[in-house]
Order: sequence, then C-alpha cells, then structure tokens
Amino acid sequence: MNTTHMITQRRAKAQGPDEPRSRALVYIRNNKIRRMAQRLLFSAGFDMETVSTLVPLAEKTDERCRVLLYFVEDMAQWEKESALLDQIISRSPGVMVFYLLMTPDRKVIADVLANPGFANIHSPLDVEDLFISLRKAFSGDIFGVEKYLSWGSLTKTHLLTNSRQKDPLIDELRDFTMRLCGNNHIAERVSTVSDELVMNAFFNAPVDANREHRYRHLDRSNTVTLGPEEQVEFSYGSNGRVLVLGCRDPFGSITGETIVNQLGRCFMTPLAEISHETGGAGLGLYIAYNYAAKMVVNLHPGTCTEFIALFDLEISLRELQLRTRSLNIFEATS
Amino acid sequence: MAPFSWSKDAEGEAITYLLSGRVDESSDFEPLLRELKDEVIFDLAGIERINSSGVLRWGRFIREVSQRVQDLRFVRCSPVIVSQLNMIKDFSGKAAIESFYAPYVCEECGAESTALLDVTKDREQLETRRVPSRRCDECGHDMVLNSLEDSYLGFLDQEPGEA
Repeated sequence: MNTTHMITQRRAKAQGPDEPRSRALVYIRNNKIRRMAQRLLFSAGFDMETVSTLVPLAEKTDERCRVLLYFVEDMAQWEKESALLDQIISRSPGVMVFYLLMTPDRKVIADVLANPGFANIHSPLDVEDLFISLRKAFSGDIFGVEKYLSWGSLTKTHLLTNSRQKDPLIDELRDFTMRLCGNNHIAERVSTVSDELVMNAFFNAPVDANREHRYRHLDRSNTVTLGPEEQVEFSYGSNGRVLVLGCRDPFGSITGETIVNQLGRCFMTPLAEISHETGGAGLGLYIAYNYAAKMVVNLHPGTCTEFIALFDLEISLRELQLRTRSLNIFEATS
Repeated sequence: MAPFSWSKDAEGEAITYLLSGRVDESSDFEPLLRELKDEVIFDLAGIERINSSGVLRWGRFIREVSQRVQDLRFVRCSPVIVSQLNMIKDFSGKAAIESFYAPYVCEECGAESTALLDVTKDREQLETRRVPSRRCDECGHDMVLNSLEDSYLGFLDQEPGEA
C-alpha cells in the first residue's frame, strides 16, 4: 500500500463536535472578518482567543495553541507591525500562522515568505478555502485533492513513471478544461501549471538513498523513467466552481524552506530574474503560483510531497488579480 | 498542442518570422537563430504556452538574437507572451513591442474575446493605462480588459534591454 495513503488514513479518525478542541489566537481588528474567523475556527475545532495587541501574543502561546490568524488590512499596518510579528513567530515555533491578506501586495507577500516558519497566505474573502486549511491544520489530515472539491465530485488519477507521459496528460487536461468551461485562458493556465508540477516531480523530486537529487542536473529535454514503486500520482477533478489538480511524488525531498525561499526570491523584485547558473530553480514554482488561483503544498519529509493547484471557474482573471492568491504549506508531523 | 515551430514571411524590408506552438524543453531555436540577421520581426500570435524550461531556452535565444541583429521587433504578441513579459525580466531582450493581443471579458454575461492593440496607434489610451472600448458580441454590453490594466500593460513601461 502506498505509504501516503496509510498516513492519511491513520490521521483521518472519526471526529465530531465534542472532540477535544485546540486554541487559536486571532489578531484581527476588522470586526466583520473577526466574526467570520470565529465561525470558521469553531467549525474547524478551535476555540478562538482574540488579542488586541501583538505584544502579549508570545505569552499566550502554549501547546494547546496551534494557530494564529493575523489579518493584514493594508500596507501601513504591515509596515508598522511586521518586525514585531517576526519576533513573536520566531519565539513560537509550534504555532502555524495564517496570514489573511486583504490586498495582494508583492512587498507583503515577499515579506511574509521571508518570515520564519511556513507561510500560509489566504484571502480573507475566500471563506471555504480558509476553512479547509484550518481543518487540515487541526486534523493533520493534509493530503488529497478531494478536500478542495464538493461531495460527489469526480476525480481522475494517472500514475506516471515516464516524463514523456506529460504531453498526452496535458492534452487530456486541456480537453477536459475546454469541455468543462470552454475558456481558453483557463485551459492554458491549467496546462502550464500541470506541466510545471509534472516536470518538478520527475526532475527535481527524485532522490537516491543518500537523499541526493538524481535528475535535477539534467537538461529537461532528457527522458526520466522512474521505478514502479516511484510512481508520480497526478489527479484532477472539478465541482463546476473550481478545477483542482494535484501531483504527488513518493520522495518527500522538497522542504518548506526551499519553497518559501524560491518563491520569495521571485517576489523580491517586480520581475523575476532568470538565473541560468542555477537552471532557473524556483521559476517553475513561481510560474505555477502566478497562474493558479491557489497553491497548496503538502509535505511529508522523506516520504512524499504533494502540490495542489486550484483554478476558480467562476471569477474572471481580472477579479482574481484583485484577490490574494492563497499559498498554503502543510507538513505532516510524523 | 503543437510543439514550437516557425515559418518565414519575407514581404517588406524586415523579414517576419511567425513563431507558434508551445515553447518548452523540446524547443530548438538553433535553426531559427542561424537564419537571423539585420532587421527581424517576430510574429508571436501563435505562441500558445511557455513553461519554465521554455522560459530558460527563450532567454538564451533572445540574448543571442539581441546580439546578432540590429533591429528586433515583436508584433501580435499573444496573451501568453504578454504574461511572460510582465513576469520575467528581459524576456524581450532588446525588442520593441509593436502590437499585442489584449483579453477582454464581458462583466455582464462572462463572454471573453481578444483584440489586437497597436502600441503606436493606441498610444494615447495605453499611456494612461486604458484600453480601447469594445462591445460584447453576445449581449452588446461594454467589455473590460480581463486583467488589471496596470498588471497587463505594465510591460509597456519596460525599456528594451541591452544585449
């Protein structure tokens, strides 16, 4: 049995409204957003504690406190508070920070990515997405594209062992997207993101017994063939509102730090610079994050990595650009 | 989707090269590079997709082209190309962008279309970060650019890079 499935099943124990609750600290000065957060947190298994200043946050974190929700309304607030927040986060390593960014400012995103710990960036307007993330943080059950789809949504999975399988897969996805929504721009974005995720799974993810990268040095025009026990699992599906695709490799070689460092570097400047010396490391991830509406990375170091990309079928690209694109990184704890 | 290919249209003083398909790890620019000299126009309407391996290959190619030719122009840039121009530094090398496709969306009915904009003819509007008005073929309402103006038209502020 696939190890990843075992982890997922072990963590997905039956839970109900009476399960032991965790505590979440909330620093949200906007009343409407705070009320929304309270509903989501309670539903996800957290009791909420609101703090009115950042200073006592560090004193309030303990082993029951798992999550901090921090709402950034504008650049002025961020510039005033970000240094203090950095200090607090670095003193509370067990706490998962969810940044709710009202506007998708590049500077704020770059700063968040440079913060200690993993960045969990959300749009406060995307309530469903935030609930899923909170629930994942609470339960530890982090893997799988189905969490982002409604009950009954159909998904399809391909098991890939050869990098040449990428092109027919992308043709299939393009056809699926066009039949689903008839939108060329979305089809192009879905194709590009799928391309990046599959290439990453074949060229960057595989490591040998000494955890050395096996194919990262190769020109991408080479063909990589993986063993039957090293299959890359590519899944996709839709509920008519979002299209979700996920790419899982059985190596678990990428770290959260690598992801935020690579992405952060691209956000530092208005335009990403191509580094030919490093083979453009991180460029694929940057393109994928820019093209998808949301990006999720589920990590189980040494065991598997799963990238999930979501595409919103209901809003135009114009509307999408006004919103913060979620970037969520989750790490299995055992 | 078709792999990268190109053809030549030799009308006029400068030679126009029509580039099409997907730019990726399989794209070979060498045969095209050997052809290029003096004044070159790339018609980029047919470029449908570019992945990160393609961006690296394109980056190397365009640096070589910028050194080799005297005059380089991009015409009919597809939205895929515009996206890269707005995302990747020096994606156009020393090229001057003459025209590009802009995606429109009807906020009333959701219909989408594209229109070719000319950097010279439409300069007045583009300089103030606006696009020419357009009516929806399906419902007749006004359409808007299907992207934030500052974001989609941002590449117009870039100076052509030195080779």
